[in-house]
Amino acid sequence: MQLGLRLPGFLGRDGEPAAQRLISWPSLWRGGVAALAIIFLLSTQFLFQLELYEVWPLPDILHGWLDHFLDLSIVGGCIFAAFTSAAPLRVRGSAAKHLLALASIALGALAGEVLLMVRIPVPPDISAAGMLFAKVARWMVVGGLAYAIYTYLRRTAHAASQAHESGLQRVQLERQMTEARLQALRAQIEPHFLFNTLANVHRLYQTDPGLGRKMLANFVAYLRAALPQMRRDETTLKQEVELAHAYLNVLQVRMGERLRFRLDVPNDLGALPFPPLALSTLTENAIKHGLNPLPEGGSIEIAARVEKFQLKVEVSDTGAGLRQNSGSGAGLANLRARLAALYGEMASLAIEANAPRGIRATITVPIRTVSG
Amino acid sequence: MSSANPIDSKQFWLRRAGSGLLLGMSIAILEFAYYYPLVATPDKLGVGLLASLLLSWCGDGVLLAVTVGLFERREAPRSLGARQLALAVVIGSIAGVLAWQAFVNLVLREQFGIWVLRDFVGQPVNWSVGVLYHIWLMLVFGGLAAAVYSSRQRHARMLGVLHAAELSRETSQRQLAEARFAALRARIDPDILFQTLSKLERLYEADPQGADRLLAELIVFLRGALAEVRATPAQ
Repeated sequence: MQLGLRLPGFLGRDGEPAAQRLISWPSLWRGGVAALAIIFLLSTQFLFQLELYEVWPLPDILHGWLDHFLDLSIVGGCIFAAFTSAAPLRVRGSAAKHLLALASIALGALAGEVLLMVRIPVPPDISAAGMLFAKVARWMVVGGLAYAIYTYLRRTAHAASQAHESGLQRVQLERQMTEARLQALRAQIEPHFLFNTLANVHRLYQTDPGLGRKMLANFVAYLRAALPQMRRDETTLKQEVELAHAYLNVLQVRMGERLRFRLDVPNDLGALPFPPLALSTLTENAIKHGLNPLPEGGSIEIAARVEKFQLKVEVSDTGAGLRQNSGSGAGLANLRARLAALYGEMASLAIEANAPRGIRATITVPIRTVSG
Repeated sequence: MSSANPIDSKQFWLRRAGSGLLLGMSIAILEFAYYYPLVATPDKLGVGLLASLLLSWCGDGVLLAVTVGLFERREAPRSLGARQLALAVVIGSIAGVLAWQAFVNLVLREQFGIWVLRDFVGQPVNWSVGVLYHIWLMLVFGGLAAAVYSSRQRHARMLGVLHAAELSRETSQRQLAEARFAALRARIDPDILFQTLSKLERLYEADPQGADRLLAELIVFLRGALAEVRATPAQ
């Protein structure tokens, strides 16, 4: 493996300044403490020489231990200095990086042991080179193990942060997915209504052109109200109520006496923001699952009020009621997900039985200004 | 890694013994390098010194690694926590060294005349003194090796977590793309519809028959669009 050394200060491969790769003070501090702990551990070997206790008094042994600890600290300090100055160097490939780390440990150990030999010369009958080799080899093993632990810990932390990042992205993606699915569902409701209405208009123009014209006009009014809504995240309550009104007008032509409705929305609440098509979803549900199954039809009432700084909008019908309310689950679940995405815990959708019959659905959203 | 092969298989114990052997060999070689210049014996004694050190340290190492393996088996299928690993190393070092050094000194040396380190150095042999040194070295080097092992396992586990997270993110990304595509496909351009209907309204005043034809065409088109929407998997 070729060592491709680069001096700090050059730009790295990925273009970021190499200065960012220099060791930060906290990690330098932590590394120093860890190195000191290992040196302390190694120095305790002195205390495990039982034969000393027979010859030396305890204070001398403790003094010898301190001496030994200082010796080890000199070498350990050299290794630490060599390692920390080699760490910011940029090399190609992880093998070269490990090699560089081990080489820096060996060099530091060699320098430290040579310093020690200058301090206390080796007896002439012992090979100094052999002693140096043995001691450096020992430091290499200790340093190599410590480096392996350090590398694994760093990689684990890196992987953990990546996993965290990935989890965050997933949550965002799922939120967007809810939006996209809701859009798809919204678009699925549209064509049904569209198709049925136009088929009605077509038929009416042949039997009762006046009524057909009225229905077509109502439907165009509905589309005029619905068009801007379909592309927004938030509209006002007034726009939503107008949309529901236009929708009910279209159906009124088709259903005649079977549909009666009443809107009870105070004018001063009109400017409050409201999630788009939320009211339409509830109104469509009330028609589709409440009134349509009944031959005699029923009535729908839309009411809005403010309670405890919350806007409550109710859609109640006198239709078939909860037990036959099958098939609307997906629409309501999507509406719930949408409310949660827009307002979190602060918004809710409650479905309950209406007296004497039918369903009352209530949307509660927090009050905010339109710009907010 | 213990996750690769089941605990208590032959391979598992072979791996444990192998890592213990490696630990013992490393220490023996370090010790040899340290004592060889001190002993200053004729060259042929060097091989004997190395063999004696290998015998002495490899047994310690294997017993330590096997003790860790026993702890792992007890804890299986969960992997050892840091505290349990430390306990295993302490117990394995002390018990392993005591057992093996007693065997080497009292059986091999007394009965079969095999030399231990102090015979080479020329010092009186008091094996209880050497035991403490052995225990210390096994504790330090075994402890460091165990720390490497434990951090490596943690790293592998974290990589598993990362892999799972990446996988579910990929899945979400794909699902989002699908949902967006479905939403796109399901959309009937409202502007075109609106224009057509406005035109229809005017046309019914001027040319009711033409308007009728246009409406019939529009209904045919919508029927087709509706079929496509229905074919889209609804979630």
